[in-house]
Parts: sequence; structure tokens; C-alpha cells
Amino acid sequence: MCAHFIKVIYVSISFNMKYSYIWLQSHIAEPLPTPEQLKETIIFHAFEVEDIERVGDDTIFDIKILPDRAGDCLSHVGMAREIAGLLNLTLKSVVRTLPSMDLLMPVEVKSDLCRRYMAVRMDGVKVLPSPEWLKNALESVGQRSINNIVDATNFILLDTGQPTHAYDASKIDGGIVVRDAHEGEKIITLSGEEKILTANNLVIADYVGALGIAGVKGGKSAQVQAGSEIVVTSAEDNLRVLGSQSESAQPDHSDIPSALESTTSIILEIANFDPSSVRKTARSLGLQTDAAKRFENNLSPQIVYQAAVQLMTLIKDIAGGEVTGVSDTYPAQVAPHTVSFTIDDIGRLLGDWVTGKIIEGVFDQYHYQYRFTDGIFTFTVPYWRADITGAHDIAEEVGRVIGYESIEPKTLPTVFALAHSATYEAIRAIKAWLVHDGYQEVMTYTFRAKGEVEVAHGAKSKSMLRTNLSDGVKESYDLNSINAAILGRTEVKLFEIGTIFTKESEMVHLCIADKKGIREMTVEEYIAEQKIVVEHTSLETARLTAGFKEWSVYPFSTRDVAVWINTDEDKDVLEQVVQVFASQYCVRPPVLFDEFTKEGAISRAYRFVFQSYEKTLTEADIDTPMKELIARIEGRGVFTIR
Amino acid sequence: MQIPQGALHPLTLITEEAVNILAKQGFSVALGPELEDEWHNFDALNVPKDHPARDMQDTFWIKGVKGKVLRTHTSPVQIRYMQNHTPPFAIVVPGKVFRNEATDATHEMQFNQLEGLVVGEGVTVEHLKGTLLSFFKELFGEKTEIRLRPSFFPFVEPGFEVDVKIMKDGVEKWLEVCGAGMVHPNVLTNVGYDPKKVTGFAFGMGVDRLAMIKYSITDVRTFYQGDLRLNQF
Repeated sequence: MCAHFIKVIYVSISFNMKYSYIWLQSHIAEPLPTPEQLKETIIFHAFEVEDIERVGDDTIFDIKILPDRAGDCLSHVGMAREIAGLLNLTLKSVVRTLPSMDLLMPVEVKSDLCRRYMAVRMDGVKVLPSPEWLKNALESVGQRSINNIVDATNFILLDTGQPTHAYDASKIDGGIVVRDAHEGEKIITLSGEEKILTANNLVIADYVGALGIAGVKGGKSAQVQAGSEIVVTSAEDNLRVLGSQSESAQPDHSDIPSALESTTSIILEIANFDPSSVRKTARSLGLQTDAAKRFENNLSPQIVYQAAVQLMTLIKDIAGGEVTGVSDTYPAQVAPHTVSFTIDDIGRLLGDWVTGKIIEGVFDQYHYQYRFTDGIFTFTVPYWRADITGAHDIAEEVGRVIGYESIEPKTLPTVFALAHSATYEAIRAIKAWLVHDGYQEVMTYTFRAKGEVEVAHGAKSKSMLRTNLSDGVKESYDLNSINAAILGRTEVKLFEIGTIFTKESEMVHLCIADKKGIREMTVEEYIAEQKIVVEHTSLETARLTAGFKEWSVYPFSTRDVAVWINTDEDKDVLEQVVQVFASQYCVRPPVLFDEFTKEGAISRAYRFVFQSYEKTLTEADIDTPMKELIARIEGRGVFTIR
Repeated sequence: MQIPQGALHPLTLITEEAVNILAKQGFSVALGPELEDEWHNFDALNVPKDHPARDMQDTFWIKGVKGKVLRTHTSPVQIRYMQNHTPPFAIVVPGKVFRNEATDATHEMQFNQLEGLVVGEGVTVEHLKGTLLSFFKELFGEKTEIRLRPSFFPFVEPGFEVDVKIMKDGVEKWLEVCGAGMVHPNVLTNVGYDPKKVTGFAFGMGVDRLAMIKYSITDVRTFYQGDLRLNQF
């Protein structure tokens, strides 16, 4: 609940990913601390861990990754690298290379939106079920195993963060072209949906047509197949296909030959696309895939090569085959950039406890490259940390690694003279004025059925902004008039202060409702009319004598009782009787609504309110206690029920 | 006859209490429009052009008027205030904000926020921590503790979530109540300040949530139904 509520507090967007403890451990040389300890470390120094769950021998972490770190940490290796840095552990690294063999197929990148494109051809692969370890690894983080080729691409995605794709090489006509889609170009996605593209979408195509939507989703035409079974290239897609088989509305599959030959040659695509373009395409086509999520967050094109080697090695291991060609188009290669700053640049954000030694210590833990000469740090931004652009980002690194708990709380050096907004002071003065006069404050909705300003995509029948407060206040007044008895009031007096919207402007209005009717005006008009002195009003704050009491949703009933008494002492006795009775049987204390004296005798009339939290009360439910009340009053001898 | 008492809305009560606590530390109240422009609500606050928060699905854009939006947070008031004032200063901004969300017991399309901003020379995370610690101690009781966790919002860096430890039904609980951080240098630059000279901190919290915690109210929707049974304090 808290996490969702926070979402509405500040503009924030996040991605959750499941991480396997065993998988993370596989990247780190030393033993990790216990899952519980690891969770604490991650929460207080890096990310919010929403859940940890034991699954067999493993523990699964559900971690919320915010956009600044989605480029490197939506992967096991990224998370392991972060953990290794925080705990000063050693990240295992395996550097392998691809054989250098030209790909006997042209690859043309015709758009700047493709930042890197690697294609690897493998011949002689066998599409088979995955080995147990791979099935287990995928299943541990909630993915289904499909077959060795599909599972290999999914494993690489979850391990490195790099989305990859496998095409059946025999179905690619001519060569591969990365280009803008033609206006109106159609593609059938792996899940069988037809999508109509625009020139704003980037596609991977052969000389005949689109093979896939770049960075978002593969198409059907060059799909990898196992025998006559349809093989799709991600677990997500497969679930959709399986789930859709019983639906008659799905596209007819009769165009697919019944006995297909198993794929034996594949082209692996390991590429990188412009974040903004992928995001727009994914949004506009309604395809929010795991791949798109990675590219949207500015995944580094640098990881392409190692991911390609890893994918090729894995496929060779579990599906056989040999690499017969490699092509790497990398037009957007950028030199590593540096960030320069002084110790004071960090200290002025975090406090003057920051020293050069502390900063160096943090960098060394992560094995970051930097120089520190003449009081100036020159930090080489690692390719996976594109989010680091200046000293403020370094301050965040230093602060969170050292731990915010160790930062000393200090009071502000100056207490500034107060100069509150005049409107706020006016609103406060009116509220104090009206409450003093017995009025109660309400707040109603800004959205109404009628108005002059309309919001796009608002709730049906409530997409207009209010032009007045009166309509909402009138509804509130009517509701509360019905409830007057239960509110303990004989008269409802209420007000609202809020913003109203016309075509030209917005204004702060006051609306007052009581038995004289409903009046609405601007805040300034009311101040002038009532000659309210605005300066330095203060409002009473909550009288917290008891906790909030929720009200019953069932109807209430009232009974009035009038009693003749003779003396003021009688009054006290009667008051005690009715109060005790009400505390036993009623939902609120009785209201004395009438009192008069006639020929030396005093008449006092009380209203009692009955209501249940469990049911609608019947006449009989109320009559029984009322008889009891009358008996108690009459039992006093001197009182007579009027 | 009994004279019925007037009563303020619980959100006014909690806002008033929060504002008074901050006023003692020198925070002045600033207000701003509910109908904002895209620049104040997003651009000036360093929210990227293609940030999902700008989508129709999350934000109420005004039909037929380009770039007009019901403010999604009180932060645009920071921008308006900074454009018209010279540091140092401390402001607190209470106000209604809007999000295009499905409503339930903890979500409303309209709700209230309270935001603080301090800008000046030598303002650090230490002051942010000190300010929030004394604020929450006064609001929830002397035994209250706070903790900062790393987080990310486009308009601050470093950014934090602030948890508050309070006694609730006799049990100690950590509750996530506040987002905060050091004002992003891009934001300072956008309003014409020199981030090499001044620094600042900002924090924002849901007033509805504070009221729900403090008064044990369980359904946020009751705040806006105009039902006086709500006014119990």
C-alpha cells in the first residue's frame, strides 16, 4: 500500500525485476551474506526490495529499479556488480571473443536510431528441450522454459540485460536491413497479432519485408521452429499463443504447413536501439515487452559484444552448432567521458565531513577509474553508468554507499522571517471566522459533469472542472441535512473554500450553506463584506481525544422524548438518566432540542439516535430500549413523560 | 440549548499543524495555480520530454488547449517562487494535486500535498535530515525516528525516500511518508540560479496520507464526499 501511495507523491516510474540469490552468487567470487542481510544492504544503499521469498534452495528478491539505474541494473550481472561494489566483493568476469568470420549475408543499418547491430550466424543447431539447470534458473524467476534456443535468449536477457533475438536463417531473403517502416507497412508479431506501422517505427527487415519491430518484438515470418511445433522466441509470447489457441477470434493458422522442418541455421540479433524511439513505438503499438523496457532505459551499446559471445557459447553448449559468420555494425561508438569535480562540490551537498579519502574509498570499492590531482577528481564514467553526468550524481554515490544513516542531522543555519502568501492568510482567517460561528468545513470534488474546462481522458461524466463550489456544496448540504440528527445538529451549517475554473482563469471561492440558502463569492469579497481582520490568524488544530470513528453504512432512526420536571436538581438527574441510556443504546449522545417553562414546570425534549453497524434496525429493535428508557425516567417518580 | 461547534476538515487540521511546525523553522507559505502549464509542471523540474508521467494515462491534460495540465504535484510552485525570489529562503507549499488514477481506499484522482523547499548557500543533506527529523517528531511525537533510503526523482539528486518510525496500535512501525532530495542543478539553472553558488533541498508528502496515519482514517475517498461525519476532531 505504501509503495503505491508513494507513486502519487512524486513523479516517479519504476520497474520490478526478480533476482535469484543463487544466480547473483554465480557472478561473485566470495560468498554473499545471508539473503536477509543482503536485503538490508540493498534497501539502505541502493534499491527498494519489495519482497524476498524462499523458493526451494534459492531466495528470490523482488527489487524495484528506478529509471536512473534501469540501464544497468535490470539484469543479474548489473545487480551483482552493484552488490560487489557495496560489499567490496569481487565480480567474476569472463572475457571471451567471437571467431572472426565474415557473415555471408549483407547487413545494412539505414537509420541513426540503431546504435549498434550485431548478427551472428550459427549452423547445425538442434532445437531441443533445455537442460535442467537452465529450466530451473528461468523458473526460479518466474519464467517458463520453452526450448533451448528460446531459453538461451531469455537467459541472456535476464543475465546481462541485453535483449537478443533468434531468426531462422533459411527464411531471411537476401540480407538484413534496419530501416524506418513504410507508412502502413504490416507485420504479424510472434504472438499472431497484426500491427500496422508508421514511418516513426523502426523495423528489422529482409529484402521482402519486416522481420521484426526493432527493440520491441519479433515477427512471425522468420520464426525459429522445432519440427512441426511452432516455436516462438520468448516465454511471454508463448504464453500468449498457448492461451489464445482456444479463442476462435485468433488469426487462422492454416497458412502454416502442418509438418515443418526444424530450424537448423539461425541468425542471432544482438543490437541496440535509440531509447526514445523504442519507447514511442512500444507505447503506440501497445507492446510493452521486456526488451522494450531495457532499450527505453538507455542500455549501453557496449554490452552487445559480450552478450553475443555469451549467447553463442550457451547455444553451442545446449543446442550444438558452429558459428559461421559474424557482423558488427557500430556507428554510434562513443569514447568514455569524464566528470570533474572537487571535494567541496560533494561536500556542499552532503556536508563538510566529506574528504578526498572517503570519495576515493567509494570509487575503489567499485573499481572505478579516476584521477585525483591538485584537489580535482577526474572520474571516468563506466559505460554502464550513463546516468552519472555531474558532481551531484557523484554525491549520490558517495552518500548512499557511506549510508545516509551516518549523516548528522542539523538545524538550518538561519530562521527566516515569515512572509506567508496573502491568499493563504485570507483563507485561514475565513476558516477561523466561520468555525467560530458554528460552521463546518467540507471539501468536494473538482471534477463535475458540467463546466467550461474539460480534461482529456477523464472519468466518464466527471471530466469537467467545476465552475462553482455551489453545486458540490448543495449536494453536501442535502446529504448532511438528512444526517442532521446523527450529527447531533438541528441545523446544518457548512462551507467550502476551493478553486473554480472558467475558460479565462481559476479563482479561489468560498461557498456557505445554511438554512438561509447557499452563497458563493471570492475569498476577497467575503473578507471585505465581513470586515475580517486577516493578519496572523491561527486555526485550532485537532482535538485528538479519541481516534477516528468510522460510521455505519446502515440507516439510523430517531426517537424524541419530552419530559416535565420541576426543579434544577431534577434537570441534573434527568440529564444523567438520558446520558447513561444513550451511551448504552444509541450511536451518539442525545441532543436537547427544545426547552421551555410553563406554569412552573420545565419541559425538556431530547432526540435519541439509533443505528447498528451490522444491520438495518427494525421498529422492534428500537421499541424495546425505548420502553426501557421510559421506565427509567418514570422510575424517578417526579418526572412525567409529556 | 446546546451550541453546535464548528469544525475544520481533517485535511485542513493536518495541513495547519504541519505548516505551523515548519513556520517555527522559518518556512513561509507559498501557493500556486492548480491549472498549470507543461513547462512549470514538467520541463523546469527536469522531467524528461518522453517521461511516462507525461502520458495521458497518468496526467490530466486540458482538452483543446495545448500544454495545459492539472498540476500533478505541488512542485511547480517551487519553480514559480524561485523565479520571483532571491535565495536564501524557505517555503512550504500546501495544495491540491491531480492524477489520472483508478480510485480505491488509498488512491484518489485529487489529493493534497505539502512540499518544502529551502535554497541558500551551504544548504546540505544534513539540514534536510535535521529539518525533517524535528518536523516528524513534532507531528507524530518525540519518540519518532526517521531514515533516508536512496531513491530517484528527476528534480533532485541525491534523492531519498523518507521513512518514519511511529507507534501505531502499540506497535512500532516504519512508514514511507515522504520523498525528498537535494534540488537538481538543472532545476536551479532553469530558474536562473547558479548551482555553483546555491544549493537547496526539497521534500514532498501526501497530506491525505499523513491525516490517515495521524487520525487513523482508512479510506482516502471519505475526504472529498462532503460528509460531515468526517469532521470528528
